[in-house]
Amino acid sequence: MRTDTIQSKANGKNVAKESTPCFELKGSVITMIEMRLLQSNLDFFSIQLDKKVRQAADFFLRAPIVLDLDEVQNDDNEIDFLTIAETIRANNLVLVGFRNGSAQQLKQVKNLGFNILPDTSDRVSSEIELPANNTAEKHTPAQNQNQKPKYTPKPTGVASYSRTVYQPVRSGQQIYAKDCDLVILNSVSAGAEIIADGHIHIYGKLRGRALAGVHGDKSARIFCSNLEAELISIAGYYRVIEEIEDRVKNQAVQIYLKDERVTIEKF
Amino acid sequence: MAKIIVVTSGKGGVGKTTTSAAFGAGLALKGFRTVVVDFDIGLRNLDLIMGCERRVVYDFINVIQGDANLNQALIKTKQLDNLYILPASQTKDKDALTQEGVEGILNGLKETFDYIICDSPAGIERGAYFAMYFADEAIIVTNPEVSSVRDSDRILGILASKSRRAVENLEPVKEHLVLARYSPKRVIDGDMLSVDDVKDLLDIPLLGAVPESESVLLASNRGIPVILDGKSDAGDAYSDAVSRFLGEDLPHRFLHYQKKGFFGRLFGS
Repeated sequence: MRTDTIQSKANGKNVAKESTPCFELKGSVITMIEMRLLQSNLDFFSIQLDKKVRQAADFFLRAPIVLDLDEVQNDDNEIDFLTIAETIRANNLVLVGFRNGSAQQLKQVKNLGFNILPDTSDRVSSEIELPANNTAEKHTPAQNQNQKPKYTPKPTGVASYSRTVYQPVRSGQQIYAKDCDLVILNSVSAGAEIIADGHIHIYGKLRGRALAGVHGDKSARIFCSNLEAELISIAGYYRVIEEIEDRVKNQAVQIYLKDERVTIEKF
Repeated sequence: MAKIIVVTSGKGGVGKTTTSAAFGAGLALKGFRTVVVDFDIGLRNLDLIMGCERRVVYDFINVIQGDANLNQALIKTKQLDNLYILPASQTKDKDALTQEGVEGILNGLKETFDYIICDSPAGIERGAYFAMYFADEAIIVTNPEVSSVRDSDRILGILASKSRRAVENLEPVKEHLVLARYSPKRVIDGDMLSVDDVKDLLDIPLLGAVPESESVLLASNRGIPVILDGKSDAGDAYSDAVSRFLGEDLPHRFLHYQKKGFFGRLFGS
């Protein structure tokens, strides 16, 4: 967007000076999918990837992929990185680069013109679970509190806007605020579902389900003026109504994740 | 300008057809030319409740399919000159409904009538969808129990998102609540949701609570809308509800349990 405006200015009157900035730098967090290569034999790589992508085409469409070579770095067989890259591209995925390979492998990768990304120690270890269809994933009632994330990081930008709903959200309705916060200026009925990649604010009663940070934003919160929810979830960690203490029911609360526990706090 | 009103609930057996018949008769009594349309294709009931079953020749689907014109299918009720019904087909099913067909019929009715009341079938499928699609106002019939309330909530959601007014971004469908089969005594005993509970859950204006009454069953079996029964509390409640629907501000009766006094019990009030 920004480059567009600068370009159009430049094309228009050509008033650019050296002091006029051509770009600006911003820190941005993009969630990527890490693909861990498990063996050097790639006979079934294409078939398996194709099958995986078909399970959730939307989820994988143009998703950035980092190829991790940690598991194969001591494998002496030569790996055909070019075929890997082409297969990944053919599946409409974006190969960002490689990491964690042996010096030999990384050199080979570099010579082929691919990026090498820095090693990171805090790697995501949970295996990705695919969303069933879209965000309307069904939750089975929790056996115990705070289970593993159901919603897994999807490559998206950072939440920057909000979506506002003025009408009551009725049973059976589902509202999803993609890449942003969700503000509901009314009540959310039992059997309704409100979902956001960012925070959720409810200025009526929350009787339905509220899921904030569904693409893995653990800092997302739910703010609500009257809590009677069937289910609340932050970044995939959830609690059902039976696991909500009475002292916070029908109260104005905020809900956030603390040490991977869904925490409810009265205002 | 003719108004299309849908009477709907989601759940079955809550009193939609009784309410449709009562509102039809109530509006006709106030002098409006009124027609009640049975959308429950395949499960025709309205004609029975309104005492017209012996005069059904053509029906809704015949008109949609061009086998009859609208005037042939409309039946005038015995009790009121300006109250008509358009019966459903008993032999066809809801697949025979088409959007163009329904729209054509409603447009035809608009030329003659002030109020067109669409008696919706239960459920949220085709019949219910077409009954509510063209509505200007909706009367949501609910019983004071949780499943009925939740189904009504679902219907309100569909009205707010899938009706013509929602799809075409017009002023939203105006929503009204009728709480049928209400028993203040059972509310006190804790067996039933109270009016306030239901209002709190659904958050739409209440036209009236209709007390559980034997007169409703009696009226249905006789084929006379209960509102025409001068001695029935349910009829009175519907009568009030119709007045409120037309904008009158009446205090609610029948909401609270009144213990009958000694003389009340003696003479029956």
